[in-house]
Amino acid sequence: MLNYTIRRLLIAIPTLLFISFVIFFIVKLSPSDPTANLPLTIPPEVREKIRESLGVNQPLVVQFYLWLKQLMISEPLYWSNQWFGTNFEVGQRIISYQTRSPVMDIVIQRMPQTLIVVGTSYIVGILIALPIGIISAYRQYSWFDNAGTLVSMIGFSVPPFFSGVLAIVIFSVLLGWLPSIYDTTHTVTDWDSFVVQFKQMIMPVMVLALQTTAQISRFLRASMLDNLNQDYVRTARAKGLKEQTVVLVHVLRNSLIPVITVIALGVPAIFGGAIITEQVFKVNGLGQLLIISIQAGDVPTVQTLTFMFAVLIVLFNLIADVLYGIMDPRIRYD
Amino acid sequence: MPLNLLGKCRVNGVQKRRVHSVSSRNAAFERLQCGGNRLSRTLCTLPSITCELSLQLLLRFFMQGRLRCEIMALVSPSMVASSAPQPTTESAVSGEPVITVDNLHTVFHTQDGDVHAVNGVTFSLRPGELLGVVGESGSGKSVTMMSLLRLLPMPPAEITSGEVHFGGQDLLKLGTNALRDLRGGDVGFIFQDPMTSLNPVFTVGFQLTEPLRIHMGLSKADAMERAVELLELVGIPSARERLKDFPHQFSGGMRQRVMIAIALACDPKLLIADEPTTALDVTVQAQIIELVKELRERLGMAIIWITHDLGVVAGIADRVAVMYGGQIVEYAEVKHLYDDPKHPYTKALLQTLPSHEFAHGDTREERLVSIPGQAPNLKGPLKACPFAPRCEYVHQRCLDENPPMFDVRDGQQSRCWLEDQT
Ligand SMILES: Nc1ncnc2c1ncn2[C@@H]1O[C@H](COP(=O)(O)OP(=O)(O)OP(=O)(O)O)[C@@H](O)[C@H]1O
Ligand code: SF4
Ligand SMILES: [Mg+2]
Repeated sequence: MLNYTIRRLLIAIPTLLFISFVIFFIVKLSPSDPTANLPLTIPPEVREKIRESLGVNQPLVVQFYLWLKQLMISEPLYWSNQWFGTNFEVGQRIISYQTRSPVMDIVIQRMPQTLIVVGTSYIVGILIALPIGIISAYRQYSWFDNAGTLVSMIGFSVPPFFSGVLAIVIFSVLLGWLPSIYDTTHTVTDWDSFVVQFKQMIMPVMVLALQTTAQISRFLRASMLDNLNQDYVRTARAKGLKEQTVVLVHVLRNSLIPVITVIALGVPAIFGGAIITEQVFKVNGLGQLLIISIQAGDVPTVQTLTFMFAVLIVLFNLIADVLYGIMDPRIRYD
Repeated sequence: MPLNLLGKCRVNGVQKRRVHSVSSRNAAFERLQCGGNRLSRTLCTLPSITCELSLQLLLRFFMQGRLRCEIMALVSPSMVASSAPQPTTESAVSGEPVITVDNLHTVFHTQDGDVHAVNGVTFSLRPGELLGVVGESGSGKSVTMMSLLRLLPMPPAEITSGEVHFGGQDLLKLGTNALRDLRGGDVGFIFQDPMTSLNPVFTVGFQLTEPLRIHMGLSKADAMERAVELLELVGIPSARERLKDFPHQFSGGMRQRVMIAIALACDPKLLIADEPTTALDVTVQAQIIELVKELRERLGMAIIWITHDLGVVAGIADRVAVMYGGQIVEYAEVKHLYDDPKHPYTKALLQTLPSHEFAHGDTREERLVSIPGQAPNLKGPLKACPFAPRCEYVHQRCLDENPPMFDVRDGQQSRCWLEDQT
């Protein structure tokens, strides 16, 4: 297993290089001007100077090389200095066109918002999905299963920009129970501020959790149904095990194998942020950052963010495979 | 005062069954009882409990911390005698039936109507007896046996009528908890396909110790010890190491041995083996058959052995039930069945049986499909003899009415109008 993991990690390096190269050229292909968002009063010569200083006029390959060097060398050195108190010479870091500050600083700044909202929603979604999936399968075609099917259908088919807005209209506008905007400057210091935080999280978390729940619960249900018909379930019953043990130990353990991998594969999406949902609830997380940067033609930021997602996707693919190997004793990687 | 202990005592240290509590004012007994909380609930791990084990001996074990029992009954020697093991020679196939099945009916409610899979099955087994159940695919063998322990998925299955007496209870009316105690405890079940009947993600040790822990209340360590014994019993080499292996690390024959070990784990009084060898190749099949024969002699349980293979049945069974269309159509001692079959279906079956049945490993399909005609349609209750369309002796009465069981001779019955003497 260890060999396999190391091999996979090594293979990932050229893959990621290739991905980043492709991303870079695609982003560059779109006609965008880093100075376009500047006030109209700025004369063209100054704009040209700015472009030059950003290195936009250099050949693409050179730009890519520079970006790569900044990402692979300058940034690690910088963070090493920050976190471990080392004293490396740090070269030019990746600078956002838009804010003129290092992209990584912005990312780190925005990471907590995304993690708190989207991460919580993922966990909540999974926790809701597990019992729904189990009961729906065990009581297939019961009213509970039918209700679960309906909810999942809604979760699958209603996009967050609709369900989010709908939730805002109902709970913020009509009922006035919950705030419509997520205030990221709010800090939790005591019980009251915790309640405020809790309230502002409910809607974005639930809107996102609905999607996760829909997906995972359906998946688990299908997997459980598959396993409930297996011969080993009959054996377990014939041994005199409690129905609870049969379902929650024997069947669930088998059913979770594919589900766990789906859950792992879904994790990068957390970091990717629920772009739309963050937008709807004005959560200034990574998803929102990506949108703003795309609109502003902020190539370094877009490039860096997409690259980070690519890394996470490759990484969690590997984690999913490894988990599969751990969960299923029949799988041997070596 | 030599008081005896009721533990369904059997020698060899192989012990089973929860011991029932009986209140007693005997001081020594009370002492045992209150000390028992620290100890596990059964007697099974005591080495060589014999029926004669006296209270003094028990007390000594208890003092030494070797006795693991919480509840125990003090009974008279005569009661112990009746629960003593049955010797298992041919002559010992006697005594009260272990199980009596009376007029069992099972229906599947499917979308295209009801399938009457079992239509009035009646049989009984005495301790130590081996009943062979034969019949072609779809004749209701598995459904009948699974109905006994209510192992069928309900719905779609429904046991519409009948009685199953086992240990003084009607299993069809028994509460789910009591039924669960029997499953894997007093009644062991071996299923058709060893490749899929074990859970792929748990070790063999885990799966084998499960029934030991729930039925005999063994601790994890004790259960493991007993599991090693069981694997050795069914002939798996280096048993202790193999407990940590997963089912996929075993061959088909070995898995079936594991299944047998699981079924035998708690010393069942009745073992139901549903085509335990069909999926295996001929040599392994022969080994498993030898194994079961030997275990039956050693442990003295009643066995129901389902098979397609009349050759196997001839070798091991005391009596045979031939099933067709969800009914037992002939029920006879094995020698009568082969020497003098009565039912036309049995006759046809025996004609298709090659004389060299074991030697060439021809598959069961080849052997059984050779009775011309179609398997009966089980939609709707039987209104005629189900074998009529394929029977060479068919006459008008067969089409008008489903025949009852007729006694042919002592212990042989046939469900055919030809036997109607009146
Ligand atoms: N879940 C089910 N739904 C509907 N009908 C069923 C179901 N299970 C079994 N049956 C029907 O019950 C009848 C008896 O099946 P059973 O499995 O007992 O046959 P069998 O004698 O064990 O055959 P085999 O030798 O192939 O195992 C068959 O006609 C089958 O179609
Ligand atoms: S009752 Fe009639 S059809 Fe049925 S087996 Fe006997 S002779 Fe054949
Ligand atoms: Mg069968």
